[in-house]
Amino acid sequence: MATVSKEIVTLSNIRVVSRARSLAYGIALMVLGAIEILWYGGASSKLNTIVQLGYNTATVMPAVGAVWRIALLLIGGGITYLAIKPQTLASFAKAITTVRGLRSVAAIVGAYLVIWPVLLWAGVNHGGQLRTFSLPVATTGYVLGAVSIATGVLMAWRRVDRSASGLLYGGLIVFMLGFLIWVARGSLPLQLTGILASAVAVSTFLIFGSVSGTLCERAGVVNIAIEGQFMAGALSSVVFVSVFHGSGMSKTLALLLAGLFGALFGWVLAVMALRYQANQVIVGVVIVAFCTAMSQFLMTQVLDVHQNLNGSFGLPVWSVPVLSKIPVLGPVLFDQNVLVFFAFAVVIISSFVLFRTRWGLRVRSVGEKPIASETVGIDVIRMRYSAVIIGGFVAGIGGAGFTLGPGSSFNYGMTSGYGYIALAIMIFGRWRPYGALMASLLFGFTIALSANLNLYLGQLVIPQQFISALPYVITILVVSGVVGRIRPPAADGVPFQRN
Amino acid sequence: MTDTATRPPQIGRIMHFALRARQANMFLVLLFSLFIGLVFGGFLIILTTPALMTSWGHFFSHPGGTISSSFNTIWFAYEQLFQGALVNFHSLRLLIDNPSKINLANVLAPLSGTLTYATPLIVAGLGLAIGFRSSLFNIGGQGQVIVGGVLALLVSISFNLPPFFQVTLEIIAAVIGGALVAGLAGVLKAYTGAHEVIVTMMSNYTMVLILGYLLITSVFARPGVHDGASKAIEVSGQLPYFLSHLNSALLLNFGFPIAFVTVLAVQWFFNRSKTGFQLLMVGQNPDAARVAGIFSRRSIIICMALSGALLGLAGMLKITGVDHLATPNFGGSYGFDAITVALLGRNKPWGVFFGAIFFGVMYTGGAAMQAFTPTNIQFSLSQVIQAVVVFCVATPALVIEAFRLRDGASLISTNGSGGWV
Repeated sequence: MATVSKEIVTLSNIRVVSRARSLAYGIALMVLGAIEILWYGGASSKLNTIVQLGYNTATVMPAVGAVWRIALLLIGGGITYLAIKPQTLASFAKAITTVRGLRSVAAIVGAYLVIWPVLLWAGVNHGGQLRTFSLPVATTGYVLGAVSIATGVLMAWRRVDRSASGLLYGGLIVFMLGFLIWVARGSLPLQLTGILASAVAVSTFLIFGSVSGTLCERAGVVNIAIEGQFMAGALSSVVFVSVFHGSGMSKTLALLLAGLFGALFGWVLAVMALRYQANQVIVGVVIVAFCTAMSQFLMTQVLDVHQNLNGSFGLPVWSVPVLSKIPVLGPVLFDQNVLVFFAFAVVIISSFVLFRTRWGLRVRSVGEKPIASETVGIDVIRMRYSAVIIGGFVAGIGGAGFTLGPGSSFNYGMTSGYGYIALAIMIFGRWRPYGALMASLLFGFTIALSANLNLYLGQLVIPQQFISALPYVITILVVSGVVGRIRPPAADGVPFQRN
Repeated sequence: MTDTATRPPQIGRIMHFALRARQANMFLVLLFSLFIGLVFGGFLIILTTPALMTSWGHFFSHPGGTISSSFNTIWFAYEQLFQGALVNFHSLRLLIDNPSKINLANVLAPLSGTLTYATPLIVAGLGLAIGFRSSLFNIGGQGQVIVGGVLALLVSISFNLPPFFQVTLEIIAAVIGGALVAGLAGVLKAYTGAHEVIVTMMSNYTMVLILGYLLITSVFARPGVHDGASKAIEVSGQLPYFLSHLNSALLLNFGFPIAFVTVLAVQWFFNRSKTGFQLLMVGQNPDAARVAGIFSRRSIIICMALSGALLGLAGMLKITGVDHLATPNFGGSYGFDAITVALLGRNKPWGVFFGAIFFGVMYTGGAAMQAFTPTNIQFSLSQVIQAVVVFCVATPALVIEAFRLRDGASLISTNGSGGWV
């Protein structure tokens, strides 16, 4: 029997590879856990870390009477049980066909209803506010290290193919938690919720950028100009809002304008790539070079002289009435500026459009096999034009997230390579909007973390620069196959020539 | 009857010349690109100069004055750009009237500044051109320049050899460092399929942060000073100056002949050497190369390593020839400028050489323009013009169509970029 080459994709080959990978991940997790036990546990045995779960007082669930808590506990437990129970699938199958993910939503709601009274009983509540609590660093290190090692052992021993990633992320999160608690020992309180909230805020423009990249590349055009579209959106929106002194209507229009500027550069890319069939990567890089020079010029020549054109106006913060009161998750997800909600909406809409509409099907077909699409009568060039221009629009709005999102003025170089990180995120998310969302949140977390660790420089043994390099190193690891072999759209970056 | 039908239409000599002149070639494309860039820059000057804008507001009351004042402003700015970068006619006149060492130095000063800036760019652009020729997009120029520079600095701090050996050792260290960093991206690309654009881009940011860290360690930091700058390179480790006997302000150094030799070496590498041919082949048609027995993995790694080696050399030329010490923003925009230089030179060694000199012109000329124009037209205008020119040169189809040139198909390349994996 001829040996099957490892290059050829067969079921057994995939299984061998993924098992080897889960073994490697398991060993890596075990090493991390050992480090955690030895280092965190051993280093400073007497110190405590104060963890602040409350982010601000207004957005915390009110206390409930002790009797009602039992009712909540029962209801929550019931919902969770029903959601987790395997038989539920059969009995609720018909209801669930329409709303996907209903089951997980039910599980989350149930878990919250359980966790809430438990938290209240645990004495965390203090006058309607989630109180800070202090953890002994050494014990936490031992416990979390043991959990990490256990996860690693499970992965390495069982070689779980499918659920490997969930275990891996769980183990990594536990490790990160231990790291944070260790870093903040005996010092300022660790604002866990605050870090998470800023992570979501930071990931806004990453979400926009990676969704933009996804749209373009699904149509088979490499959009490396996202960085340039970010700059165009950031600059145009801040100038527009400043001209109108930050009135409410002008902010809405500024978002639109930012999108239009992004779309403009998307159009330039499309013309170059589709009409003149230039190398898409080169065109993208040149567009970024142009936008960099242009924003620098406008900054030094105009905005430095007329400082009132470069004001700092933030988009309004919207706290969703009930949801923002959920402990921890509420302020993180539902008490953010409007752009964050736009980002979530963009993910949902683009996922629906790409995978559930005719336009999306055509865009995907054009990105996979343009000749076949042409044969069945799809206008390849037109589909690619529309996808790239819409992608540019999305990236432009993301650019407004740099200035209007946090409410800061435009600063030359403020995009600092996030456009390229968005591309890596798109790959990490495997060219899917929801994947892009998850990967953006992960990257946003590392970015927010490296920003927050500046507060604890005294405790940090590692130089601060190495922490700041974390997002970049993770990106390299990601694209070099830590998440598994990636498969881009087949015609990605290949110019289409009509014969 | 049949005779007239088959005979090609008669064209006169002038018409023949006109048709020849419309043949698209690189020179014409470059000329038109420069023209587009300058016109674009002119519009920007008008739009950002308040006096001119008010003048255009009353255009119909004095149209001639408006146009002439706009034209004069733009012309003056470009004149400063030219004179600040290449030849100042006033000092040339002085030299002719009164030949002396000082006047000669004054004439050479702008050109010396231009070439000094261009020297590391020539080498860096060549490094990227090697990558582009085999369809590898090494964006990590900045990181590799930093590595080269830092290693050269390390050598000059730790050894104290005679100048020749010191400089040679610096070159070797920088070349190896750059080759290792870029080679790592090549290995990742070859064995895991990680796209080199993202890996090298991320290595840029990582290297900048590592540089920031190294500059505060005791190895590099000057004792007692916390301004982020490193110890200076000793005279024995510096590249000697050429023309400093004329005037100490002439900073052209021996990096320029090194860059010149590198151009010749890369020329030889692509035209005459076996490996160079293999790299070209892999770049143009990987499938055909594989069939012909060329290992694409090996050539990817070799190509990235060579590219990184030249970028490391560029970092060494920068730090030993120009800066003499490292600051946290050492390397600056060199990586990206080198990309655009390589695009401007169409990945040909001599093209890169002149492309880098063009960048040097725009850099020194832009500074002169900012200093001498009455409204202080900012230096970054020259960067905008430069970006527009590169845009036009990188996509010649646009220029060819806009100016109705003929037979441009040979200039338009559609190969390259095959997606992410």
